[in-house]
Amino acid sequence: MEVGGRSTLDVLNASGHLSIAWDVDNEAEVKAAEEAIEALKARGYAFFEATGVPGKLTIQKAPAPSPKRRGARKRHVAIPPMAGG
Amino acid sequence: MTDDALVQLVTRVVHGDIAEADIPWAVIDPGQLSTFRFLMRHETARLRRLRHRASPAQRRALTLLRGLLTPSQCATLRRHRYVEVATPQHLYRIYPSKGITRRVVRRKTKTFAVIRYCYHDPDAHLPPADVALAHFLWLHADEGAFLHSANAHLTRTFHA
Repeated sequence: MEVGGRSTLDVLNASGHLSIAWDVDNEAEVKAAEEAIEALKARGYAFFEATGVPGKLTIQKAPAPSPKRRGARKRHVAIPPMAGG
Repeated sequence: MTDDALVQLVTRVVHGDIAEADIPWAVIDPGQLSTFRFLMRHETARLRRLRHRASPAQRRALTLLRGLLTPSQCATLRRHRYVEVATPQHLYRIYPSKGITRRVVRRKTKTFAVIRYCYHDPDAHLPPADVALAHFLWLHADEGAFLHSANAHLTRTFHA
């Protein structure tokens, strides 16, 4: 989600979720976010993005977000690998 | 055994004060056994719900899930504790307190669960609401992949 230039990626984990936030204009934050996203990709996380406003969201599976890219208002969620149980 | 004593016994077993192996079966009247079993199931489920509700992880997960719901879905979640998701093919109910999804069918005024889906993270130990959120996202984004990967348990068969 982009709020006033900041984007966030919500990563589902045992504590509920972890939010990774970055400002596209802040190089240090973008680098940290890129590293975190690369680590999630390596661990097989699936990425989803929700576009639109709450109540009228379009949800789709998407590639991992690119912190450097400026884009429309989006919300990103990463979920760990799952299996039928 | 009086009803009060039976309820007290159930409470002590469920809360771990008495191990299941040490349940004094001899003092329970044979006619009270089905009541005892019912109370055990009911109290265990109630305790599990309370623990999840009190868990900070579950609350954080619910907050994230609510952020993706429509006002109508939020109202259903508050009232019935499930989220309905309608895809072009099917209707699903997702239960954030349990982390499971059921496919349901409507017949006249009644709704029946026909299939229960289990799809969870083997390692991360996500709270149930996060598992439900994952189901919600998969169903919206790629229902086919969800149905392909999740374990389906038939709960009821319908003949059209």
